[in-house]
Amino acid sequence: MTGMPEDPGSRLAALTESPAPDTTIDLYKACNDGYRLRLRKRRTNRVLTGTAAVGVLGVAATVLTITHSSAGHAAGQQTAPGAQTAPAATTSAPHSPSTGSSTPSPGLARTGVRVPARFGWLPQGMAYISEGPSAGTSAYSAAAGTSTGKAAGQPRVFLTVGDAAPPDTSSKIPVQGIGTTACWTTTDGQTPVPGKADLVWQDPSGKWLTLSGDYLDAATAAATLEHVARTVTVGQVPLPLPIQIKGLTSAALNLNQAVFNHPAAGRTGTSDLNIGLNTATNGPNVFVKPAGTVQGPWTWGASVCKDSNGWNICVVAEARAAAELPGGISGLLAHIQGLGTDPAGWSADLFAN
Amino acid sequence: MAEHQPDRDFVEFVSGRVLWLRRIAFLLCQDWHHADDLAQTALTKLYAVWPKARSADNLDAYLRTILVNTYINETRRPFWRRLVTADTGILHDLPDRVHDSDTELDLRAALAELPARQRAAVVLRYYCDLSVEQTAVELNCSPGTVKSQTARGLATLRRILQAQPSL
Repeated sequence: MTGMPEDPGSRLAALTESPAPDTTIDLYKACNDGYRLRLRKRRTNRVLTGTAAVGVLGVAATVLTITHSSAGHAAGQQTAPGAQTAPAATTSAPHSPSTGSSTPSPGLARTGVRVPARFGWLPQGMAYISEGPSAGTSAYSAAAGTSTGKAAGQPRVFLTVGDAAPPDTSSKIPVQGIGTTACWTTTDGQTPVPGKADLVWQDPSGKWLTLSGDYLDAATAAATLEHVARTVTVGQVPLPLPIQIKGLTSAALNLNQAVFNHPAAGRTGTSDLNIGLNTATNGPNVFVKPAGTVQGPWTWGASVCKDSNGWNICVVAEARAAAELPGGISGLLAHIQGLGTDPAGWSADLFAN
Repeated sequence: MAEHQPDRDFVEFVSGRVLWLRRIAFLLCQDWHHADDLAQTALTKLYAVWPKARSADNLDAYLRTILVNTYINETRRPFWRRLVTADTGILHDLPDRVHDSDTELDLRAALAELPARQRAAVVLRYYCDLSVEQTAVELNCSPGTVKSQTARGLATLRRILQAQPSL
């Protein structure tokens, strides 16, 4: 038996650094499962809200009937002033969220698909980059990894570019030679341990950048990320994509999110693209992989696929979103065209005439 | 399998915290595989509420609270797996004990003896380095309860490990 040291925290920390099996945590499975949980909760809330609304209307109608009856009795056949306005109040009772229509968020593709920064140098094994803009958040994020796969345990580097400084809630360790305010933000204030620390700095343009790593060699992770940071290029640049939507304007169908997985500069390999589009309610998704790939099935919506100029393109949408598309999902698919497998022929203009 | 376009800011937030989350989960349950399950569940729950949660002041604390609550709720279930070792009769979780040193085994065995909330209080106070007040918020109890839970937890560890008085 051994006793506890003076600092129980260090003993506990040592325990967590003992040899451990490879993690089976799957971030993307968590997203899928969490999304389904979110939908289930939303449906439950709609049912409850609808039930509550019916209940409120029923109670209000009963109260009004009693009030009206009492007032009528009290004032003979004269109508009480309050009783005239009351029904109007009941009709403005909260309605089910399902009856409200949301406004499509501002499109990202009006001036072409662009990204605000690019990776420069990447560690030897980092062969793939996943990047793309996302509406609804001011930040852009990109990740570099060893493959297009999403398996847990593969080394990855994550870059985020935003307008606001990250929350000042962590301890900081200054870093020289990167921007003007570079520092490691850590949870323990001592060491930039991968998974527990982010490298944050502000570019001369005013943009805030955050770099973090996952499953990197702990001994060299800090130096690796600092070198990656020194070679990041900040500035809006087009992100050419291998498909184009022809004959539909971005005013009718906005780009909500694009995630383009492609080989890093100087590397070869396959690419794939996921695009989220916005309609009035819930938009369709477009999945693009090399021609011949069998995609799906998707259980959350209807889908149609086709091969076009080297790419297998699938449109997937829930029933409500599909109903809002001109010609349904098949109509949208007919407007999408592959641009070949040569990146020289790709275009950042997602929408074209 | 149904595909869903993950929220990029969620992926960005979580990707650098997977190992951190896993380690906290491990200290709570002393089993790496179980820790993976706990962390996976916590991430799933966080993603389910991400549209609202993303604006939280302290997302780390938010995620950690989900993890701790997941763990505590799980231990309340009757089918929570436990083993009674033949030699000591001590209740242990099902740990992966390969490669562990005697020292680590001692501490893991000692931690396993703590009730769930005491264990959580000790981990949050001493591993996550939270104050009594912060721990109280994450465990949804009073600071006084945190103090008593922590004191009892450390006393138990000290007894089991024949600890030094300085603990």
